[in-house]
Amino acid sequence: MMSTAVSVPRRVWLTRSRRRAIVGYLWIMPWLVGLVAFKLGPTLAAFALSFTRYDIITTPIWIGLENYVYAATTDPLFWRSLRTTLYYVGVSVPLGIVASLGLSLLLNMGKRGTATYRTFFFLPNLTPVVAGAILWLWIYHPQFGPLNYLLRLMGIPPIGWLGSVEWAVPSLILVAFWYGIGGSRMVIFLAGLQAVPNELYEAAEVDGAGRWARFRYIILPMISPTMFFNLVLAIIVSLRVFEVAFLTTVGSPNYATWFYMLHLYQAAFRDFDMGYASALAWILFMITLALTYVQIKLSKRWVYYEGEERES
Amino acid sequence: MGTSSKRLSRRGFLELSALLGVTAVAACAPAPPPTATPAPKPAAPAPPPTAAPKPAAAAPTPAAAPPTPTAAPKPAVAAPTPTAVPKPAAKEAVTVRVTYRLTDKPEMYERLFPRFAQENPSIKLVGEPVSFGAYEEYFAKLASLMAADTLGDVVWVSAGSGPFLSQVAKGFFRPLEDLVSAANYDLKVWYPSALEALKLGGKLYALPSDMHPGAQFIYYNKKMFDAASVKYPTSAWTYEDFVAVAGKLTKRSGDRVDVFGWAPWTTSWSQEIIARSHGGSFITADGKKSAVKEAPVGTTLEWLYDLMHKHKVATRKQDIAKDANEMFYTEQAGMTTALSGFIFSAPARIGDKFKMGTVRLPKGKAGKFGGMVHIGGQAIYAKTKNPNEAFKALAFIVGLENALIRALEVGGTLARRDLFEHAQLAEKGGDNWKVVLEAMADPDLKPYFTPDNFRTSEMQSVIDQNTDAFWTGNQTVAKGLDALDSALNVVLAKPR
Repeated sequence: MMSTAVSVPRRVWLTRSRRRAIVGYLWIMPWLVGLVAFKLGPTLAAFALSFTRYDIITTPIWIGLENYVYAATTDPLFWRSLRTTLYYVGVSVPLGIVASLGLSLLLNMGKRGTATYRTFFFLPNLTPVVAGAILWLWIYHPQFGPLNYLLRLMGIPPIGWLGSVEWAVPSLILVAFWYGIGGSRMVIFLAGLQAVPNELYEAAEVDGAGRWARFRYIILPMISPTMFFNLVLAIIVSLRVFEVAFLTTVGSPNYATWFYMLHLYQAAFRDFDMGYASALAWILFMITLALTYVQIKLSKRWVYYEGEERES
Repeated sequence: MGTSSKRLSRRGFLELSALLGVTAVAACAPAPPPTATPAPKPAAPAPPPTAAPKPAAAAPTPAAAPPTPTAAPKPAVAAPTPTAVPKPAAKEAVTVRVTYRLTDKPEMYERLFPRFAQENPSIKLVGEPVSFGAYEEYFAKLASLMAADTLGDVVWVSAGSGPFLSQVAKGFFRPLEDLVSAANYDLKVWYPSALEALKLGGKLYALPSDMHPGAQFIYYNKKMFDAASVKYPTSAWTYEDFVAVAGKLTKRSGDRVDVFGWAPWTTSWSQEIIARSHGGSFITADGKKSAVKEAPVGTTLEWLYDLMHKHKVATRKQDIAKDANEMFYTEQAGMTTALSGFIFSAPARIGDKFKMGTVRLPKGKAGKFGGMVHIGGQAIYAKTKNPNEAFKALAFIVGLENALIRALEVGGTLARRDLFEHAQLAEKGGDNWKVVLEAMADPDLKPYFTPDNFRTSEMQSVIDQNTDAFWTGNQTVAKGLDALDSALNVVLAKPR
């Protein structure tokens, strides 16, 4: 069948490459929409709100830097919560990293039942936070908890755990340790260990290197990128410690577990000081950014990438 | 090409995607407000409150209505005052949305809705439960609903530590006086102290819901009292008697305490009860300054501190997990503090182990009992389009029948006299309930300690956290009072 072909000038702006680009953007659109609507948008909105007094139900009032000044100079809980959080990070991160690495080294030995142990170690990580918190509340129970029961058996006076100013944060660190030791951090370490070439171990063995020498001069340098990744993530996650404290102590006793995120949450959802809470969120964001930047800078001294050439 | 292909072309895919996208966006558009329907007929006045059944013979009737508490009047508010105007006739039923807190028996709240519908065919009640899991969760959701202008017409509120009065001051709830008089509603059914607690600037903004007179009740284990040959306490006991009784109930092995005399609550509002009995409060009468350095608060804190650390007859912070009452249930404490509802909830935990008695905390240096109204209420959203219908629903929800179901099944007691004096509650609560009735009728029962800037939760948190140092024994009261005072003043100086 013949058709009368009418030549229509092509729209020059819709070139093949542009069409491809449009299609590409459309494919990632769901993610982009999510990013803008639920991450980037609220982040920027929070930045704008941090310069206001805003209680959700009435119009925000512009107050300039007042929220930031209040945090730094007047709010007694700002510095206190920051100190408590840094103490938590300072203890829980190294402890968690060392323990996860230790576990992954054990699992990497290829003994019988490794898969079962791996699953077993991963289980706490799969426990819902609320269930875990209730479990630990029972473990720490001053009268009926198994920990104090054991202490009494050994003739040691019972400890107040979550109700004690001295023991509250260490108790929560132990909970975090239980959660994190066999979780994704251990799996990432294990992946790193399994990527270390066998030839290196064989060469070291030929040279007479012992277990410690193999660990110090082969394993540690070879998994240093994995270590770096885990360290950055662990610090970021620990800085945001919230759920366990919220569920067990709500900052008590005497602000002992009043972490930064708890302070932020209370400002936002208990006191409805959304402007101030936004300022607190941005301060934490800047602290996290600064710590990550420092780590990246320091990493050049101790992180080794395969095939990387360094100036001596 | 003559071959017809069923494969979707790229252009076709894009067109289809765009179509689906538009459809999805359209589907996400908010539904039209349910209250937009015109009213079906002129609003009838709300029915008079259900006639109160005669109180049981055993239940004492308060001699007279407690006089209105003498708290400083709250400041004037900017709330709009829409008037109750009868609606023109229409065909469809008016929808009244009821936002309420989701407690452990959600079906209970809406159980009587069908009966309301039968009696009021022109009004359709729609329940909208909101989680009350974490205390803040409910109020955060309420604030979000207000911000989005999607709050229900009738709303459960808390005039205690909740932000109700602050929201009233910002104009989110409407005063009820016009609706009360239009419906010829009898407010005398309520305890005056309850109504007073729901007022701001002299106007009533909610009808009372659950109420209790504060943590002024001491529950004791009669078996332990008998074993220690201690007489059951009466309302004539003193704070010195209390220390002596707690001492006699305490059992030790060496330095270790096996059974405590008392497992107290140490929340700010429990401490406030004692301070009130000594004639003081943690905050000044105008709610603008800390009063912790005045004698009544110092006396309160020192007394509690001594019980824990000097006499060692009361549990310290580190001796209990989350709930001091656990020590009482398990017979590790002879006495405990709790609210009035404990009379109905505790027996299930205690079982046959022992019988429980109730007494109020002693009268303090001011020669009176401490007490504080904790109250929830049912308010009407200021922007409701159907205030008359909303009030009708509200009056039904706080009616005696609903109140009785709540009281008997969950333990919450609405502030109705005819409920507190009801034969079924008297029978269930026995002699212990008489103590509660006495506290409810106390003329010294005052509203919650609400600061002038309405930052009640924040204030309570500051008191709780700072006094923790006393209850753990990390600091003496004398050394910690300055820090508490200045931290409290920081909160009280904040804007509304």
